Amino acid sequence: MLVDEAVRRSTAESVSLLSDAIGAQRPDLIAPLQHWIANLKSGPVRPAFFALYSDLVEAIFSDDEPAFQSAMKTIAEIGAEALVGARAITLADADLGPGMAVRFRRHVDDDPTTPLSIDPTSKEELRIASDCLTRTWNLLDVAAPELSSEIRALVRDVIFVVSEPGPGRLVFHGASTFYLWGSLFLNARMNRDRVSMAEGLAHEAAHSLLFGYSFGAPLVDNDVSERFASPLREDPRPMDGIVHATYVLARMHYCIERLLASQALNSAERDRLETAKLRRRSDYLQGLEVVSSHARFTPIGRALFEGAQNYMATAGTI
Amino acid sequence: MDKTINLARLRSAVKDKRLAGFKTIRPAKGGESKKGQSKSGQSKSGNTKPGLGKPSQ
Repeated sequence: MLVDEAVRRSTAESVSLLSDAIGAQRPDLIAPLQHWIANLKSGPVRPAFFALYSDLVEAIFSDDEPAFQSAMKTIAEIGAEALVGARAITLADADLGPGMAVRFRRHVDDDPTTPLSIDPTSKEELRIASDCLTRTWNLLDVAAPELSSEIRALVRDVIFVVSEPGPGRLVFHGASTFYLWGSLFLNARMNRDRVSMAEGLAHEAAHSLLFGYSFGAPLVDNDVSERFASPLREDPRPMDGIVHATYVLARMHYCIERLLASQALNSAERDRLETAKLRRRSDYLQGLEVVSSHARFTPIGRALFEGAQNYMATAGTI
Repeated sequence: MDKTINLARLRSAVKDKRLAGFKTIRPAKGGESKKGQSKSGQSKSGNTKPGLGKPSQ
């Protein structure tokens, strides 16, 4: 079973549990929930469905009836649509649906210790980013078709945003979260060319892949209060984040290797990627050292991470 | 038809169920839900490490 299908089926089972409980009190709400479940089982759905699922669960467990009613109202109104490929959109209701931008923002910006400063792109910036995304897909289709297919299988919405860094503020490059399954966020201004965007897609899709295999659960049993040096961030992170980062670095290295092995790059792109490849390996090894010393893997976490380790152990040597 | 809903009853009905993306909900004080984990996306301090193109977790 494909990862996307597994996530949809797991979520459909969860919605079914909720539907039974909700229907016991409000039979009128069963129909939209059953329709939603059918959509989840029948094929890929927009990330909005997952945003609403997460909102519904959170409303129930935070005893927030207005939020519950709002989520249910939107669930009843949202329509399924035939999905063709990954859309290039921005963080706006015009793209995501009425009232959805604030829901998406809340899920992607859910860590009060590291608040994100993100905004929608302008129409012109979105057009430029969308054109770049098309060129990036074309590049990946030629140079790494297996990676391109995998990312396309995971991603429905590429949400371009802008984020202006300031002194001491976070620099936002991109993000992904299980609670918006099928979406990934990219800073349009940090991914202005096809090589940068290819790495960005590979990076965020790798997070999504891990989320999908684990159904959003941590890959380690380490306590979340434990903090470790990250190969990719200045701030110490929980071990689950270190495992994610190290795994993602291996996937980025793979993406770079595949691009370099193709004849699709110009000399400037090739030079950039040769340098980037060395950095990814160095950062991967830094992460690996921390993971090897401190990670207490779950079974699925160990299996997934071993895949990255096995690849990096032979990368560039064959 | 009564359009209200008793969320406490809802919580009780699913408290021992595993909901995708969320830790098993226990009848804990406050009754708050707990996500399985936070976002794993990339954000990074302004003092970026030299040469890191795609900071994340």
